[in-house]
Amino acid sequence: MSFSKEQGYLPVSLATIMDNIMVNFNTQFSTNYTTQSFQGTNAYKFYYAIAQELQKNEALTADVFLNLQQYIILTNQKISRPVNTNPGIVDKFLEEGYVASVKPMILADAGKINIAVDVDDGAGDYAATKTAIASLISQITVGGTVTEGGQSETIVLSNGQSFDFKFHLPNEIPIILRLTTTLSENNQVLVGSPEDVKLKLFTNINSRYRLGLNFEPQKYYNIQDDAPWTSDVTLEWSDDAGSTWNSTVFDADFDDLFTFALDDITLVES
Amino acid sequence: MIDIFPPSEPGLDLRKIDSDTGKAANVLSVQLGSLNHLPEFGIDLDYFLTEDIEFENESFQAYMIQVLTDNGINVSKSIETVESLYRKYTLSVSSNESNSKLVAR
Repeated sequence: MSFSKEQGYLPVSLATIMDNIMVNFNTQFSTNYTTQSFQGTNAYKFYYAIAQELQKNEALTADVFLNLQQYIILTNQKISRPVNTNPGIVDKFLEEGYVASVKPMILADAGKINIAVDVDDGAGDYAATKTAIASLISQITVGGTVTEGGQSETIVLSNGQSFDFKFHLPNEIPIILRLTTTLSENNQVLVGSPEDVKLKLFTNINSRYRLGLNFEPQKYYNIQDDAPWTSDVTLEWSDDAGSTWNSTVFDADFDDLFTFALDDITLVES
Repeated sequence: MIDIFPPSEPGLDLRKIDSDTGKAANVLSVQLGSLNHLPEFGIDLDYFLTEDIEFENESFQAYMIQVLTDNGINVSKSIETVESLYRKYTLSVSSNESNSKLVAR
């Protein structure tokens, strides 16, 4: 039985439990079994079932310690990061199921906060979403802060005072994407079908890119993980319907959001 | 060596008997590699039954005795009985004796 700060509770191994049983058996019945001679006896069979139960409890105990450690870590994080810091605001929105970004502070914006939330203002339940977001902002921004943005909602506090809380909708930039792949001459694996490649790229971008992040094209599709049959892949984006193509990183403003559909991906194979 | 044995009648307590027969029976009734926690325990009966080579009965008998010895069980006697359709092996086992007395010459 052992406990260390670094590793938590280490379950006792089954072999150790069986050895302890053997030592006690030797004491009780004046036998002189060793680990090797004890194995295979009827007594070993009999006690093995009990030892398994003990081992199960050992694992459960270790599990409790692990969960407790995670709980303490989580609580510590909550204590050390109040929600009205910039990362705290982003985290809180994420907890409530929204993707949000905060405008980096500059001197001219002192006392003001600009929050962009990735929601669709054309959705049927947008009125309810808007109220929910404004209510959330009212709880996680400190007094004296002016909220900025195109979307405004009046929130009534518990004492009857009403305030307007504002937020930004994303500045949607429709783009089209072009993925150029070169088949490797040393290829030994199955080449992916165009549909699969497009779907993989689409899934990758959706999981790795969101509001507030720079659009970094070479990060979304790579040879090693996604296309081992290629010798070169290049992803380009265009925000002017294909007149100019860029393979460089798009330095996004806090509310810039690239939008595209699966059909907006073109695949060029060479 | 003292070992525990199933009760002589259902409902009674387990019996403690000074005998190696329990372990010997376990060794001979377990297929080698079938126990997760003791992969090297038992005899490889499958090999003798499924291989295309025909084995001498003596080979199998010697193999059984060798495995039992490996497991610390002394075989003092081995009797082969031929029945109408099969052969029966009766193995007598005896416990280990140790003597620390000096022998004078």
